[in-house]
Formats: sequence, structure tokens, C-alpha cells
Amino acid sequence: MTRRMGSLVWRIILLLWALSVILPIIWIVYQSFKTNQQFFADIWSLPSTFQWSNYSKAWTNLGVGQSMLNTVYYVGLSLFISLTLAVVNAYAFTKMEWKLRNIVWSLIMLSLFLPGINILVPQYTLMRALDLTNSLNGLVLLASLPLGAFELLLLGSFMRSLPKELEESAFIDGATIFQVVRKIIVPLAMPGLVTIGIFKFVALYNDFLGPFILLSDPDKYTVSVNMYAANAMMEYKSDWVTLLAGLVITVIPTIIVYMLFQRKIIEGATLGGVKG
Amino acid sequence: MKSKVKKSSLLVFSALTVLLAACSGNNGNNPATESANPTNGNTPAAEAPAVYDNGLPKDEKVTLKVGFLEAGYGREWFDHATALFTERYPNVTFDITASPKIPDLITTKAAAGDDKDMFDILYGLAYTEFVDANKLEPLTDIFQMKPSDGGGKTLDELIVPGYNVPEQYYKGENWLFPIANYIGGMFYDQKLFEDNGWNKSPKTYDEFLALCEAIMSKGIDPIVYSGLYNYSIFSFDTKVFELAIDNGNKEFRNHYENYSGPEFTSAESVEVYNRLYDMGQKGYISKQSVGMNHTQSQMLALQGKAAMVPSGDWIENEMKESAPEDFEWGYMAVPFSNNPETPIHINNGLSYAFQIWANKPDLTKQWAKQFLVSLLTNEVQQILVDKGGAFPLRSDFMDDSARAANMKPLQKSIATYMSENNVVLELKSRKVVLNSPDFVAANKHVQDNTALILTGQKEPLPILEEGERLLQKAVQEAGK
Amino acid sequence: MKTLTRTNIHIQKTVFLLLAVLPPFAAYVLFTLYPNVLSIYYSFLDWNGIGEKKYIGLDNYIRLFQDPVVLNALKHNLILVATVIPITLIISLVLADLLVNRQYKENKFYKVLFFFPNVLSLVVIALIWSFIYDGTFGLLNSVLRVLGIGGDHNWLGSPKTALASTIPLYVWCYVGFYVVIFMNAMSAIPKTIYESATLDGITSFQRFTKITLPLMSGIIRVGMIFLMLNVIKGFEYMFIMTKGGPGGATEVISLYMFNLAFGTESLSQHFYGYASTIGMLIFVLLVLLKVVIDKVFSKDSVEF
Repeated sequence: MTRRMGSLVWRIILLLWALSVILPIIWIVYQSFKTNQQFFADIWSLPSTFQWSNYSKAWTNLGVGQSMLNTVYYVGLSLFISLTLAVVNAYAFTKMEWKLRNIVWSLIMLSLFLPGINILVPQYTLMRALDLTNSLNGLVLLASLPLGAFELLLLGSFMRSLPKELEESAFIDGATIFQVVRKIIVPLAMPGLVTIGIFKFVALYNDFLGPFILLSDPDKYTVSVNMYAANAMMEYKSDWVTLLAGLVITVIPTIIVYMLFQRKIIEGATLGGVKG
Repeated sequence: MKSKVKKSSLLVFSALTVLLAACSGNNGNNPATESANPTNGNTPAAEAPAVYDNGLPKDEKVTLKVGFLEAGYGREWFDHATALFTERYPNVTFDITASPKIPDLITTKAAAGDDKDMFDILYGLAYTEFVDANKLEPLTDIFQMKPSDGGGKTLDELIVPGYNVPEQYYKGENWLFPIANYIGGMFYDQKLFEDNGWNKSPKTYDEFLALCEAIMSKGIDPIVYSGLYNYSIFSFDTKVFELAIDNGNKEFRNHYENYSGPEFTSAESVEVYNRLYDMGQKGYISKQSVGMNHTQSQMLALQGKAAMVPSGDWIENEMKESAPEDFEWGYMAVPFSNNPETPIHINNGLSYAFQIWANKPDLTKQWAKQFLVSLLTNEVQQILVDKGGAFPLRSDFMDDSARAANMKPLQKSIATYMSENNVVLELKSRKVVLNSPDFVAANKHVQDNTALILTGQKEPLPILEEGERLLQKAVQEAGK
Repeated sequence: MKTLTRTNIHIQKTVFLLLAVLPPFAAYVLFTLYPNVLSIYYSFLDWNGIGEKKYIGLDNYIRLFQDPVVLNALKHNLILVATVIPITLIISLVLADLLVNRQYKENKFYKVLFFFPNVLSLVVIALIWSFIYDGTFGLLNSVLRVLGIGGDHNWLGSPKTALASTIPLYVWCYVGFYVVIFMNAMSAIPKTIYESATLDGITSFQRFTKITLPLMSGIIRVGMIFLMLNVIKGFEYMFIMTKGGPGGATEVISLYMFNLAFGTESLSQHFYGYASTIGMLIFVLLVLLKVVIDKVFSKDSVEF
């Protein structure tokens, strides 16, 4: 009986949190179908007629189509490169012994504590000198090549917890390090990899200041730079409903990606469960 | 010399043909009104001389890189202006980077220190810092140039007074090319005022207070403003000058321009803040103002939840997406004197300007100047007025009755107010520019607390005194 | 079957390290570390980011210690750290446990839903919460009016409530993030451990405190440090919603630094040098807080 009650309390807690998340989202969606006058007149009222034109306006004015393609390219490529690098580096830092390991590790961890606002200018100067400004590939390089402390830390702690036996036996069988990483470490580390994949994805998807400064050509803007500019325009305009419609459009791909990732996590977890 | 004139007129003609061929005839009045002599113009373009009548070579291609702030005036007028210019001078093209966040890009490029990478023409910001670093091209000579439709008059003669005043130059030169100016003040719903019979044009401070009282009695907040962006300045920043006249303080402006007297704690400033505090305590200024951005506050005026909102003349354009079809904005300035003889000082200033980067090829800079002058032709001004909702900068703009009649309701309301009242357009220029962390700290301290003073939640004097202390530190530092 | 000699392994290892570690580390040094080291140099300059760089020794550091805005901002940062971190961690741990270890049928849906705030742009989150707190038609006030307790308070516009009002906003945003981290970490705990424990007749609360939490202490500590970094480095919500106001009530250190470096609407002057000095202060502060967190969790094996 008490167990039932307890269960009910927990389920209500979950429901309350879910409501706190879902209500604002529903709110955004239905506001995005209003006119600006309705939006400001009473933000809690329902739209009288659905203004699909907000969506077409958002699509064209915010250049959503092109910016989505750019984002897919930028986020997809960056994610692939940085996750590959994260796996091999996490392996190198946690499973291998080498001379400068600890120094290099602490140098990388240092970046977590640096405030980072002032680095925009020197970064821009460097990228300019390397002729990488106004280029999506340049942005990809900057976003994926430098080792990220967050990825290493999370994936590293995950790898430490993996059993040594499997890779050891693989080495005895004559596998190379690359083979071990690819065939044994990657499958085992999948839940960790997916976790940092999600975070990297969100970070890449939402990053706007760096991309904005490095890309001067609006045809190359990513979704978040577009939204950043669209919001900045709200200082000079009062077209909130179009902004919200644009947001709804841009959020959809993120949700799909997240759902795909989430399934991978569950698969990875069952995989780990079987092995464990 | 003579042959040069001939050559150039021929060139204008060929430019004209290009222009006519290029545009499909929807430009009614042609901007090219120079001494073009069509009888000379039958020769084909192959014989055309290498320079335009402005002395710049025709065959050297120039691309002007522009850092454009996409803001309240939009970019339609600018796209139109560049298209017109390229039609007329086909060797000049434009590479426009437009963004509402262009200042971030400009400051990053400036700090990166790569002159080649910088825009040629850029939205005007932080110009004293750029000038101090020798980064800007002086634009004083532009004002001696002649817009194509000016009937031979110089820009200096054609521009609204106040934008090329040698006494107000920074380091002896003019650095900013004005595009639009703003008129600050109180904006309101015409219909709401008419329905209630409220005074649309109070002549004295007491009349203004009476208006606030009348509005309050109807259960409406008399004033709401954007506390987040400190928009109260658009109505009240210039009131110290009115009080100085009432006080017979002849030295006030001199002190103001040179930071030679007390700034925040001058008798006039303290009086202004005390009155605002008082208005806040009486409930004339809505407490909701504190955390509000300007579209929110302007929205309340649109909805009739508040009667007046301090802002600038861009308000009509800014709110057009949210305003009901038949909404008409009205304008008034706030009188702070009880003497009708004292002119009402209207807050006025540059709201959009361009500057030219110094370390660029001469030819680029010359074309940049030519282009800027072309922006002050009435044709471009017309688009800026129509599409951008700006106030024209050409003093002869209104001479054309059709253009004057075409103005938007708010622009008319402003024009009417100005003609029916004893007003002064106050630019608040200073001769000394302070630039130190203490100066910023002083202003930050006062600005951060302004919303609390204006809503009657914090007494002004201690804040003004602390601001003054920091400011005097900055003044001393600058004196060293 | 091959037998690998000692040298062979050594060569292989070197090649692996050269290929895997060297390029990204070099990129890290170039694009991340070097610009940051430059800002140490900037912190000794009087430089507006435009004109000449003037070396002024320790002047910026002296100013830093006399600047009342810095002190005020730090106070607010510490209040946020002390509230946002524990609240976020507790809520996300509980929610993650409920999602992973209880088989409610709605869990599948929640797993996706809870992550949602992370894909909304900062701007929109700020917008939503501005409407919640709005003094006239805000959601919170509407609810309070229905309940008959007040309902006309301007939450973000009053110096007394502005800072406290931002706490739920932070928690709301961060919880989704940490639920996912903790969920994935919990999934990785072998089921067999739980199964044997359940046989021993342990309650679910004991299971949570005695098994889950200790096994996850490493990741919790990492989460704590990241939250701390986020709360101190972040300023976007203040930037959009309050501009640090009213009367400095929501001023935070990174916002102050950003405004000094990039200028504000009303004061477009730039102080790159002094902003970098504040950056140094933030760096020291973050390291100090990290050391404190490490001290509290000293038993853990995760090094960094």
C-alpha cells in the first residue's frame, strides 16, 4: 500500500516537472500562430485564427532553409571529427602510459577555468591569418580540432571504469591499438560517447557569438546565428510571433537528432549490461 | 580645363545611357542633373574619357565594403541607394555586410588590427576611440561637396543645421556622416487623448503635471518607459537646459560642454531628478517600467494601458507589426519650465551615421565619399523617410509639398508640434570627451539606478553624489 | 598469430600518440590556450581594443580591488552558486533515478521531454521567463491572483526579488542537461549490482543512497564543477532580461566583464585591458572553487 502511495508521489513529481517543461513549449507553439497584436494583447489567450503566414515569413526572412543546410554541414562534420578525436584521446589519456601525459592533461583542463570572453579577438586574428574566416570549413576546424576538456573529462572517466581484460586479451591476440580502439573501446564506451555527443551537439547547435564573428556572409549563417540576429532585430522591431515561428522550425531537427541519440544510449546501456 | 569639362559631360551622358538602359523607368526624377550636354553625347562609349566629372577614373573597378547596421530604418533604403550609385558609376560595386549586431563585428575587426579586412564604410560607433587611434578618415571636406540635386549648393548649406558645426568638431574635424537624426520625446495614442480631451501640448511643467493627474484619474498609467534601456533619457535628458535658463545660469552650457562644473549634482540636474522622483512617487511613472525593454513599454502605449511613452521618432516604424491599422501616434515634448518664454528643449541627435576607415586606398576613400554624398540626395532621403520612417536631414526636403504631404502621421504630428510650440532642438554636444573606466563607472552608477529613482523607489541625491564623485575622478584623470 | 616485440609496441604507441594526440593538442594550444595567455598580457594594459596598447603595470589590478561593482557582482555569483548548484543536482539526481530505475510507462516520453530546454535558444528561454515574471500579465502574478495572495509584484523589476527570481530559471535550464548525464551514468551501472541488492530486501530509497549515489560520486562531482563553471561564466540571461539591474541587483561578474570589453547600448566605450583583468579574477575564482569542491569530495579517484 505505502509502496503504491510512494509510487504515486514519484509519478506526480515526474509529471509536474514534465509539465514545467512542456507548458512553455506549448505556449511557444500556440503563440507562434497568433498575430503580434493578439500576442501582446493577452499572452494567455488562444489564437483566434491560425497565422500560418508567420511560418512562411520566418522561413524566408530568417533564411531558415539555407541556414539549416549550413547547420547540418557544420554540426555534422564537427561532431564526427570531434567525437573521433575524443575517443582516441580519451583512450590515450586514460589507458596509455606516456611521458608528458599528466602535463598535457592539466594544460587541457586549464581551459575549463578560463573565462573565454576575451579570446574572441585573438581567435579571429588567427583564423584571419590562416584565411579561415567566412568559411564553414574554418568554423568546423575551430569547433572540432582543439581538444575539448569537457569531452575528455567525461569520456575519460567513463573509460577508466571499463574492464581491462578485453583489450588486454585483444593485444595478446596481436591487435593494433587502432583496432582495439575501434573494435573494443568504441562499442564499450558507447553510452559515454553518446552523452558527450549530445552535449557537443547542443553546444555546436547553440553557439552563436563565434560563428557570427567568423562568418560575415549571411548565406553561411547557421541557425543559431540567424536566431541571434533575428532576436537582435527585436530591438528595432516588434515582430515576436515570427521569431517564435522561426524557433519552432529550428527546434524540430534538434529534437529528432536527440531522439535518435537517446535510442543509441539505451542500446549502448543494454550492451554494457550484457557485457557487465 | 575646358576639355576636361567636355570630357566629363560626355561621360555623364554615357553613364546616363547606362542608367536608363539599366533601370526600367520606375525612377521618376533622374538624379543626374549636372551640366550634361546631350549634343556632345552621340559618340559611342569606346571614345569615352577615362574619368567621370567628379574626377575619378571610370575604368578602375572599386568595391566598397560596407558594415551596415540593420536596425529600425531597415536596409531597403540602403540597397536602393547602392543600386542607384552602381547604375550611375558602373565601376563601383558594393559588398555589404548587414546585421543588427554589426558593432560586434566592427570592434572585433578593429581589435584584430587588419586594415585590409576592415570595412571601408562602417556604421558610426565609438568614433572618438577610433579617432584617437588614427583609424578614421576626416569627413569635413564632404560637407563642401555638392549633392547632384542640390542646385549647386554644398552639403553644408543643404543639411539640417547642427550637423556640421566647427565648434563641435572632435580634434578639429568632422568624422561622422549623418544619415538620420532622431526626435526624442513623449509618444502617445492620438485617439486616446482626443477621446479623453487630454492636453496634447502642455506649455508648462504645471500643465504637464495636470495632464498626468488627469490621466491617472482615469486609472491609466500616465507614463511607462523602457527601464532596461534607460529610455527616459529621450524625454528628460535635455531638461537641465530649460532649468538653467530659468535659473539664469549662463555658465551652465559652458560647464556642460567642458565638464568644468558639477555634472550630476548641479542645481539643475538635482532638480530634474527630484522632480522625476516626485513624479514616480505620485505614480505618474509606472513601476512596471523598471525591467521593461522598449518594445514591451511601447506595446503598453499601443494597448492604452499607459498613456505616454518616452522614445524616439522611430517608434512608428518599430511598432508597425504590432499596431492596429488605424492607430495614430502623437508626439509631444515635456516642458520643465513654468515660464512659457523658456523654449522647450527637444532631445535630438544622430541616430544613424557612417564613418570611413582611414587606412584604405585613396581611390576607395574618394568613392566612399562620393557615395555618402549621394545618400543625401532627396531621392534617397525619400526612401529613407518612406521605408525607414526616418526624419529627413535635407533642409529642402519639405519644400516639395508632395513630399511633405506624404509624410507619416507621426512625422506630421512632430512637425505640427514643433511649429506650434516654442522649441529648441538640443543636440547635447560636448567639447570634451571623457574616456576612462571612472567615467563609465559614474554613468553606470547613475543609469543603473535611474529606473528606481524615476519610479520613486530610491532617493536621487545619494546616487547623484556617488556618480559625481566618480565623474570628478575621471575629470581629474583627463586633466593630467 | 603474430608476436609483438617490445620495440614494435613502442613504435606503434608512438605513432598512435603522434596521430591521435598531437594535432588536436597543437590546435588546442593555438586556438584556446594562446588567446587566453594573451589576455594575461592584456590585463596589464590600458587598451580599448582599438587604439594603442599602453602598459600600465598593476593599475588595473588596483582598480579591481577598489571597484564596488566587482564586489557586488561577486556576491551575486556566490549566491547563485550556493543555490543553483545544490537545487539542480538534487532535482536532476532524483529525476534521473526515477527515469532509469522505475518502469513507469510514461518514462520513455519524459526521457526526451526533460532534455527539451537545452534545445531552446537562450533568447527564447529568457523571453518565456520574462513573461512568467511580468509585473502586469505575468503567469506567476496570474496564479497568485487566483490564489488571492498579491499578484501585482514586478518580480524582475524589484531589487529585492530580481536575483532570487533568476534562480528557478537557471535550475529549469540546467536540470534537463544533468538528468541526461546522470541517466546515462546510471544506465552504465551493471544491473546485477541492483539485482543482488534487491534480493537483500533493500528499499528503493536505500538503493538510491547506498548504491547509486556512491557509484556516481565521480560524475556528480564533475557535474558540480561544470555547474559552478556555468553559473560563474554565464551571463546571458542577465544580459537579456535585466542588464544587471535594477540598481545592480542582478549584476554578475561575467556580465560586467562583457560590458567592459564590448560596450553597452548607452556607453559604447571599451576597456579591453580592464576586462581582461576581471577575466583573471574569474579564473582565480573558478580554480579556488574547484579546489573547494575537490576538498569536499576528496575520496574520489577521478583526477583532473
